[in-house]
Formats: sequence, structure tokens, C-alpha cells
Amino acid sequence: MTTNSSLELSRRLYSGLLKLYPRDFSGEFGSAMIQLFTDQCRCAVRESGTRGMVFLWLRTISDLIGSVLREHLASPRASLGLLEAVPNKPLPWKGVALVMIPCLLFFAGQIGTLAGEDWFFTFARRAAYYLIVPVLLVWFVKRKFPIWGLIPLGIFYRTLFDVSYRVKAILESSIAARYESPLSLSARFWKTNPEVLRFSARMLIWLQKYEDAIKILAAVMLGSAIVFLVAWLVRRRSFSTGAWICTMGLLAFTVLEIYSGIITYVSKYKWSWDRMVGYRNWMWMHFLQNAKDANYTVLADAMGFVLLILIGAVLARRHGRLAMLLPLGYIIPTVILGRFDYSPDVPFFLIWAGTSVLIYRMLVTLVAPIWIVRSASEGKQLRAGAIGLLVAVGLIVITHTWYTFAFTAPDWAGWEGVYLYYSISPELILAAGMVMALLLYRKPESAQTATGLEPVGAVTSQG
Amino acid sequence: MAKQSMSPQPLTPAVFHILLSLADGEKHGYGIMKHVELQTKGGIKMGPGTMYGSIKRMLAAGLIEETEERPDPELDDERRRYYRLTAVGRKVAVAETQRLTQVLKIARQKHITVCS
Repeated sequence: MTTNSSLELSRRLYSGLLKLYPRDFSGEFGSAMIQLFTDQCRCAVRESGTRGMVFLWLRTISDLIGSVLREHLASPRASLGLLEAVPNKPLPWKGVALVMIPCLLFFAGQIGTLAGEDWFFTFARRAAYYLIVPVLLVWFVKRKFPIWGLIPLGIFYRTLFDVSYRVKAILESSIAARYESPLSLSARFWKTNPEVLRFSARMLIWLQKYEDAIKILAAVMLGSAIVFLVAWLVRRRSFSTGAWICTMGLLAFTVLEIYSGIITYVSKYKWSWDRMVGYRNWMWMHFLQNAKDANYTVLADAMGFVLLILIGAVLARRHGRLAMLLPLGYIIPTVILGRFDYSPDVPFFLIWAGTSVLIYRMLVTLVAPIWIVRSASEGKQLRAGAIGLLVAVGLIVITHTWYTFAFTAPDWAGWEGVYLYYSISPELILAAGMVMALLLYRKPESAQTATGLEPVGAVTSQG
Repeated sequence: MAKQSMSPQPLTPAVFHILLSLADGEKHGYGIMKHVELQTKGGIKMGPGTMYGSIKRMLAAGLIEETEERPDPELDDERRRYYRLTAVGRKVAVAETQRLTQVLKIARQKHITVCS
């Protein structure tokens, strides 16, 4: 390649990369930056030839990454989809791309696992969790929530879901060295890393010792979070009837949570089961048993639930009701993806089929909301929303029923309803969160346009 | 455009060096960059992103301004943009230099010196 052609190629490449900056910034300084870079290229080639060019590119890329982030965070009209900066506007393409990146990571991980690669599990199930970091960074700097953060937020929700019970399960099963799931570390790992095993054992003992105290503490924290949420809503705007229903529901949920924690503690340490049986109080027994089953999962669900209501309400206020399909579309796939367990007994074609369905479902649930927010008319938005939601929920129900059937066939007969309920319960929780957010929704005063037309999707709550 | 207040001192190294570079006359982006590189003996190498990001903020704060005058188009590319220091920018540069001098004085009093 001649010097001139390499210079031209570099210039064109750099011009393309300038699109990563906010539009107002690249519009104002783009041509000057290209000119500066071209001067640098000429100088680098003149002084050190190809080597100089390579070093210049390395330096330029590191400068590009830092300055792109800086300019986006500093831009008053950041086009990364900060909710409060661009209300009632379609998700920008950069936002769409950012939403798709974590999705592609999941694809890669999901497909990689089919080849039996262990590290892909980490990639698919754990590494992507850290995508929450840039979201939190943006929130910390701008005090605004980026819409592209919904995918990491979905993953964050999934993490909450996981942390509650999986830590305990993995610790228990790892120590027993009989947990075959790829989620856990292999027996070989435990043999070669005894110090990790000892640490796990100590953790497990600690968890078991303070299990009830943790439950009560978590319940109190959850209750406090809800009180803060309610106080915030009361201070910010008047309550609709729907909001009151929602609040009462949440408070009842919290009271039940705290009560179940206390009951668990009391039943374990103060009264023996024998004494309880002695009372022959079936109802009380039944309730106690249920309370004991209220484990970390319930608390994690509750926390995720509250989070969803908040997000849903914020989204609805800013983008109209249909915008709530965004979290629904994003969070569902992330919740579901972690649910495909592998075992040596599962036929390979089932894994392939299941994974294909997962990928298809993810595409549908991702693309539909994006289609919605980019559609011009409200009619098209409604149609897109309905199709997307129906397909997503339909697929979830069908695949989970099939999945349950495939893996639990011997016990399946007579338990269809139970299995179906367990299969779709996370989605029911999500849907309930969205409904509550809808009830919380009220058309903002400023949403009225100058022409008197309502903004897309903005409908006054009937609640 | 309404002037935004720059954050209080100390200035970032990039901003301070751009101010110093423009202290002896107007320059274009590449000229500033080369001058800073020369002044710091290669210690500070700014890329286009850092350079124009700093320039944007300095323009907004009124520390520098773009000049309308251009050299002969045959001698220079018309896409180049020239900048010069404003009175406010000069004051800020002086204040930052005083601050650094004070810091240096304290360091010397405490016998914190660079051994060569």
C-alpha cells in the first residue's frame, strides 16, 4: 500500500469513527478533527513510517474512547437515550446498537455452550452482569437514567434473582461435590483448590447460622425502600386511585414478608415443631410451613418487583404507556436465559431446539419494542406492541411447558397447572409490575403538545 | 452562546497547556498540539478528541475565542480553525501559574525537590 493510500484510508476510517461522538460535537469540530488527524498521520509517516502510523492509531483509539465517553456525558442533549434529556422521542440508533450488544454477548455465550465450552457459561451468565457498570456511571454523573441501560438493568434484576438462592445452592452442592450443573464449578476444581472449598464451607456455615437474621434484615430493608418510594411519590405528585391500590398492595406484601421472617425465626428457635403438631392447628401449621418456605428468592423477587414498578412508572411518564414494553421486552429474555439447565441426560437435539427458541424469542422481544418506539403513528405502535407482547408471552408459556414436560415427564401427569404456574411465575411478576406501573402512570402536564395533540402513547390513567 | 463557568482551579493539564500555547499568539489545532508536545518534551500528547473537547469547553467558558482572520488559503488549509487567548483566558492562566508557583514554594520549604 502506498503512503498516500494508507493516509487516505486512515483519514476515512477516522471520519467514520467521528460518528461515535455526539452529533453536535462532531458537527462543530468534526472537520477540524479530521484535519488535525491527517496532519498527525503525515507527520507520523514522515518521521517513523509504518511503525509511526501504528503507534499513532493506538494513541488515537485510546484518545477516542476516553473523549467519546467524556463528550457524551458532558453533552446537554446526550443522544445515548438519557430518559430526561430526550423525552417522547424514539430510541436513537446508537441506543439501539447499545441495547443489541449485550444481547449479542448472550447469543455468543448461549451458542458457545453447545460446543461444550465451559468458559462460555461465565461469558453468557456472569460477564454480562458487569454491563450495569456504565449505566451506574452515567446515572452517577448525570443523575439521569439511560434508556440503553435497560438491558443491564434486566441483567441486574436477574442478578438479584440469582444471588438470593444460587449462592447457597452452589455452596451446598459444591461441597457435596455432586452438583453436575455447569453453573457450578467442577469437582476437579474443588480438588485442586482446597482453600476455595474451605472458604465456601465457612460461608455456608455462616449463611446457615444467620439465615433468619438475614431474612429479617432484608425484609426490613425492603420495607424501608418501599416507604421511601411511597414518600417520594407523595412528595412529587398527587396519588391516583391506582397508585393507592398499588401502595396498599406493596405495603401488604412488605408486612407479609416481615411477618414471615419473624415467624421463621420464632418457629425455629422458640417453639418446636412437636409442640406445634401437638396443637393440631392445621391452618397454623400450614401457614408456618409456607412462612418457612419464604426464602431469599421471595425477597429478591420483591426487590426486583419494586424496581420494575419504579422503572415502569418513570418510562410511562416520559415516553407514554407503550414504552413499558421496553423493560418487558428486555427483562424477560434475561430472566429466561438463565433458566436452561443442562445435564448429561438431555439429548443434544433438545438443547439445540431449546436454544434456537430462546434466540428467536429474544429477537422478537427485543425487536418489537424498538419497532414500537420508532413507529410514527399510534396505531402502528399499538399493533406492534400487541404482536410483540403476544408472541413473547406465548413463546414463554409454550417453551416452558415443553421444557417442563421434557425434563419432568415422569411426574408430569396431574401437575400441569403447578408446573405451568412455576414456569410462568417470573413473567407473571413482571406483568404485575408493569400493570402497577400503569396504574401509577399519569399524563404529565408538560406532555401536551402545542397543537393540542397528545404525545404518542400518552393516555390519562383511569386509576 | 451563554458563557459557562469553568470549574474552579486547578485547571486540567490539557487546558492549562493550551492556554500556555496560545499565550504567544494564535494557533490552529495541530499547531497547539505540536507546541504542547514540544513544550513538555513529549510528556503530553493530545489526541484530536482531547484537544477539541478541551477547546469546546474553553470556548464555552470564554477562555479562548476563534479568530476570523485566516492566512492565505494557498498557504494553509481552509478547514483549519485558529484560536487565540481572551483577556479572561490570560487572567486564568496567570492565576493558575501563581497557584503552581505557590505549590512549588511550599514543596521547596518542605525540601521536596527533584533530584537529578
